[in-house]
Amino acid sequence: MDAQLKKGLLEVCVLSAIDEAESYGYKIISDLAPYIEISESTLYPILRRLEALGAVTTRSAEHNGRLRKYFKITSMGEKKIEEFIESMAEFKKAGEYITKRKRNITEDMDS
Amino acid sequence: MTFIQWKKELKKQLRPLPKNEVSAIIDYYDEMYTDKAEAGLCADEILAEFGTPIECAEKIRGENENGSDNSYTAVYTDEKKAPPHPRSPLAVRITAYTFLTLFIIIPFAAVLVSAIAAFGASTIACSALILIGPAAIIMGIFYLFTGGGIGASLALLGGGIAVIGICTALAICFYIITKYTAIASYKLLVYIYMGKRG
Repeated sequence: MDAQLKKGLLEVCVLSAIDEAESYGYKIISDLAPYIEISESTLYPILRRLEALGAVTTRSAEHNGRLRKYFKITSMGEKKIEEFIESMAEFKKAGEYITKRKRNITEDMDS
Repeated sequence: MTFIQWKKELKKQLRPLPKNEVSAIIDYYDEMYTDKAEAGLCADEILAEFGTPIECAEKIRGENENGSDNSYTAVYTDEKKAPPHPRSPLAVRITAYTFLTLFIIIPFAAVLVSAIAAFGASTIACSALILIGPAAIIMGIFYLFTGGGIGASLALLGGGIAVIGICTALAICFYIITKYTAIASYKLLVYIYMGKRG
C-alpha cells in the first residue's frame, strides 16, 4: 500500500480503536493487528501527531504498580472519523473507475 | 540482546532528537515491553516484534522529518509545551555574537588549537621514539656477538625494550588526549553557535 495512503488510514484506524473507550498503546496495536499491519514504531509517531493535532488527549493511570498512558478521542478526532467515512464513498467510486479502466486496457491488449 | 541493551542502542540511534523526546520514546517502549511481558511474551519474542533499534529509530526519525506537523508534542511525557522564548532584536544578537567571537571564542579556540597541535606533536614524537627501541636491541645483540661486553649488551637490550614500552604507552595516551580534545572542542563550538549537541 502507498505509504501516504497508509499513514492517513492508520490515523483513522487508531482513532477508531479509541472511539468507544480510551485505550493504551499495546491494546491499540492488538485491536488493529487483525485488520492492518501496524508496529510499535509506526504507532508512536501516529499518536504523537494525533495529540499535536488535538484529535486525542492523554492521561496516565496506575496499572500493576506502574504508570500506563491512556488515549482518549476528542471531538476533533471524532470529526476526522466522520470525514473519513464520508470520503469512503468517493474512494469506492475512484477505486471502481481505476479497476474498470485497467480491465478495459487489459482486454484491449488481449484482443 | 537484552531489553536494557536494546534501549541503550535505541537511545544512541535517537541522539539527534531532543532529550525530552528520546525520554518519551523510551517510556513508550518501556510500557509496551511490560504490557507484552504481562500478556505472556518472552523477552526474545518482544524484541523480535520491536525490530532492531536502528529500524525503530529510522521510522521515528523519518516521521519527525516528514511529519505533517513541525510542532513537537511528546505523547509520553506530561510536560506542557514551553512558551516560545522571546528573541532579542537582531542588532543586539549580532553585537553579542561579535563580542563573543572576538574576545572569547577566538582566543579560546587559539588555545585549544595550540593544545591539540602540542598533543598531536607529542603523539608523533613518541611514535618516532619507539624506533629507538629496536635500534638499541639490535645494537645490544651486535655487542653480545662481537665481544662488546655482556653488561653493555644487557643494558642496551633492557633499555631498548623499556623505550618501546614507555613510548608506546605515551603515544597511545597522547593520541587519546588529542582525539578527545578535538572532539570536545568541536562539540563546544557547535553548541555555542548552533545551540544544540554536535
